[in-house]
Amino acid sequence: MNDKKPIISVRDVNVIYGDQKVLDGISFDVMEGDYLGIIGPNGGGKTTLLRVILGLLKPDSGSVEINAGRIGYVPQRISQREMNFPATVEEVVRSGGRYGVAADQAMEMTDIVSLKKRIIGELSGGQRQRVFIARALALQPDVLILDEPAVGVDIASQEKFYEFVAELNKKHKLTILFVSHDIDVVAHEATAVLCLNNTLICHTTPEEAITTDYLEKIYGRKVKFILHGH
Amino acid sequence: MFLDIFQFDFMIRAMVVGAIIAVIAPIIGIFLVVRNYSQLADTLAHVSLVGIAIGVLTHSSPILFALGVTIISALGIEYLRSTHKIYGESVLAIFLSGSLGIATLIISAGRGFSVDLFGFLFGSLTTVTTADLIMAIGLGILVLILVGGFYRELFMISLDEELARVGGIRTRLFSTLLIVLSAVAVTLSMRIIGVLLIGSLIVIPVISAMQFRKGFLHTMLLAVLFSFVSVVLGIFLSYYADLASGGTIVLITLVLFLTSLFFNKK
Repeated sequence: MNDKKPIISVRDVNVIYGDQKVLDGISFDVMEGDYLGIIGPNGGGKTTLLRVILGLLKPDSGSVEINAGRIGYVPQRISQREMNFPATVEEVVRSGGRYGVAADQAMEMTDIVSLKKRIIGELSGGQRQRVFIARALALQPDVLILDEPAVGVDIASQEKFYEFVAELNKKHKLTILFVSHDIDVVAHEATAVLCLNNTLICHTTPEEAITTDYLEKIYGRKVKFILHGH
Repeated sequence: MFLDIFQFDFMIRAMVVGAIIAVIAPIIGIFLVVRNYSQLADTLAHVSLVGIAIGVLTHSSPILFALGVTIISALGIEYLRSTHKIYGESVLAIFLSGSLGIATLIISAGRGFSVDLFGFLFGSLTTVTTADLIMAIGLGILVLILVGGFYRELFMISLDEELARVGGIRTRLFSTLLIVLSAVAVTLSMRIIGVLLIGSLIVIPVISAMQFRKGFLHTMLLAVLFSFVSVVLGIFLSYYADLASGGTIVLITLVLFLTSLFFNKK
């Protein structure tokens, strides 16, 4: 590709649940500075792939090599436990890293300084998502992994949210890996796209992904692409 | 006249041990409550009965045996829970009823120690020995040091175990630490409040404090305050009104809980 080095190397990863192959021979590299969007249908193995990369799930075969110091992770759903958890925004963000300065910066970057004394259960979905991103950033990660980061966030906030993530990638040189079922978002925001439906259908540029028949392959039928105003 | 209570050495011992457990019970309790593991305290308390029964039967220290048995059981519970061999609450049910069964057997084998046992079941201030006091001070300090030293780790595994793992925290190790500390808190509490009532001291002040909807540290400190007031006031009341100490303490925690409900504006 170029002189950039892979920060994550996934090699021939297989994950089998019962008699179903959720991940079938997945191999790809994530390069430093990539803004990689993973798309695919429900049950296509997106979250499973993230869990394997994060070391939360051991693949049945294959390997994942991480050449990054730290990985920040923002999970898909904020659990019920977190909804009722008696903790302020500041406490949650500070728990992410050992260094207070990084936590302060993370809260400024995610624009949640004004919320810092609020209890996390009292926040809106979008605000809570930013808190957990700030928490991940407080770790001062080299890679940020987001699983369906905009679920439960209204459309207007979603756009702002992705602008913010793009800024993290461009300005702060953070390598970003995110899962989304929203092809529009992936096509417009990411610099590379991974199409996943148990097997790896494509690893290409967003332009290529939406102009070829990859989408038909992963979703099993023609995908009508409607551009939102960006 | 009001301070008559301090004429007796055993009351001073009871007060000091009471103050120590009042502080550590909710500090451990908050981690259990937010992890939906409130029943653990009750389970470990019942498990400790096995140790007490062995101790009384063999005329050795019931508290030491209780500590040993609860820690071993705590490790067993955590192992079964973390390996997902058995669903969380079922693990507790097995240990709770199983240990009660074993304790009953041992007790029936050694007829005649029912008086002693009553004190352990419901708490008895007069039975607090100097050895109990020394153990309470030592273990109390140890609990505070461990929770203080690993506060961030314990907070993280309570908030979200997966996030903690990704953040490089050894979740299994800290879950085990928490459960062992719970076993210690339970064992220390049983002289004053009794095996059957320990759960309430570990859980009720925490739930009361949560009604104020504050941050984690604030909630913890508030829970310690509630628990401290309950235990100290409970010991005073039980002494002057000649009531059972454990029951009196639990009653005060309940009054504080009902009052705190008015502060929840949600």
